[in-house]
Amino acid sequence: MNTHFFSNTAVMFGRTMRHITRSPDTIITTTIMPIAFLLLFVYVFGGAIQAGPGSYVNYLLPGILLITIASGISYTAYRLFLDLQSGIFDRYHSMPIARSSVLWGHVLTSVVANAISVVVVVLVALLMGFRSSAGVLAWLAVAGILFLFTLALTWLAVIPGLTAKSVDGAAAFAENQPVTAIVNSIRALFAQQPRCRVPCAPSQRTSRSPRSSTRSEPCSRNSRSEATSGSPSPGAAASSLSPLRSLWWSTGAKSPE
Amino acid sequence: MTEVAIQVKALRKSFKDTHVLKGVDFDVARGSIFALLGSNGAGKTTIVRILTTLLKPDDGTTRVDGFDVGSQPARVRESISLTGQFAAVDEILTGRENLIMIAKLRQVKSAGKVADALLARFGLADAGSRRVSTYSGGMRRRLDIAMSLIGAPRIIFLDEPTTGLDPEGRLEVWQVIQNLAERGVTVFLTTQYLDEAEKLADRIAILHDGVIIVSGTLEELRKMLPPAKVEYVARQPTLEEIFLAVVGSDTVGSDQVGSDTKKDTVGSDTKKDTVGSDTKEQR
Repeated sequence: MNTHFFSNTAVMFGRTMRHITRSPDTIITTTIMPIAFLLLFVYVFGGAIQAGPGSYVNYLLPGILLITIASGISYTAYRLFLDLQSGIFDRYHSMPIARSSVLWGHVLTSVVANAISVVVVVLVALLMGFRSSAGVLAWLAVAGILFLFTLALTWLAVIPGLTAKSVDGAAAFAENQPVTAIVNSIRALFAQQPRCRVPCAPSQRTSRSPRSSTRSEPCSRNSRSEATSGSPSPGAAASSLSPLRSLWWSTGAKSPE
Repeated sequence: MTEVAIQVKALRKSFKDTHVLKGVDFDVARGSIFALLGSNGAGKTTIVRILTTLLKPDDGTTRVDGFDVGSQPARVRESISLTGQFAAVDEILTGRENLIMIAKLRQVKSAGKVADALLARFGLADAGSRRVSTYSGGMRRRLDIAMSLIGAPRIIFLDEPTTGLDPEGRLEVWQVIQNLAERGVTVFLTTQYLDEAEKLADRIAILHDGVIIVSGTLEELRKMLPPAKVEYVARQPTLEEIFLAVVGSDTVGSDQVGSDTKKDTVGSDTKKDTVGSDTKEQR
């Protein structure tokens, strides 16, 4: 069985990729909302939000990228559900193929489609003035984090895709995940502040707890360590309170309290 | 004695408190057309799903092509092909791409050639490069069945293959099924149309209330059927004959059906050769 896993997956991947290339509207609709957010927050609310030194779009982009992916993966649930409804799943499952290849085809397509969406959003951000001093390695690290995030979230989206009883149920997948910690890591990578010329990583601003004020003192540690250590940053603590709020905070807005 | 392709003994299946199958027994001889009759919700699809390894039975033994469905599902899948109740085709791909996809999944070499041969055989050669979403119901069903023939499965399951088709589409599908049986493929057919079973099947079984209440050849069943059902059988072909006589003979569609049928019988030798060589290549 497993001997055919890769060739089966390649066929499945080719099939769902054709769905994307023949109806590019899925990519367009995935990117429109994050781009609208970018425009809204930078040009409409931008002046009212204090995000510290540096341009606001630099601060905003990591969160927007995750929103892009979170809205993109719901298409995977939708497509899986349609496959299940149309009976093509039954056909695959009654054939001598590696069964997991059916799902892997969808998941890999989701990764590629989201990568395209993310690139589009980054290009728009560049037009809006996003600049990063990040080197090749840091960009690769960002790409890696986004890749893993897409993969993890897509597999989560597979669950409602396979269990939903209606299209609404499949598509209305809760996209709000506790993502603040990931947003902060990407910010730190983009910011690339090895010598801490600017007061350390922007993550403190997402929370106004007393701890954050102590951490804004001259920073002795590399912001990159924050990205990798996974130490309980205020953002991560906040994210466990409410996923929705964490996404809100990742845009840099002040807590409603 | 003929070899047994499908063997079902004391098959039981319940969904929560609903006992769908309460001890189903039947055998299907190799190379024959077996029709399972039953009203909606009788459990026909449940039996098909169990035999095609999609659903686990609660109890009973099922063997397909000599392999136990419960313990050797992978071997069973190599022997069978399923054409489900709804045409399981990819609407965004073209007809040819659908066939190539299945051929590649079944590790058939020269997938393109196999696809073209099947498109020609099912009268879809002109539509092969069009997206399936533009196909009519009959064309979808023919493509669906064509996809099931790839890889030369020895047993084909057809779950209500003509439901929702117009009379001409049904005739096309019947022709296909008869051609399959001539090639030695075992066909397991479910239907709710009595005339369909009457026309096609070597053996017929009627599933009612979770058990097979009668099974046998048409001649055997004729003597057993209650009068009310005999009347139903007799009336439906009559209406169909009227329909085909009034509509069918003058339309282009039915002409095509006629010519396709002729082509199939005349050219069947050469086509058999091409398909046969493909089969050899795979092994």
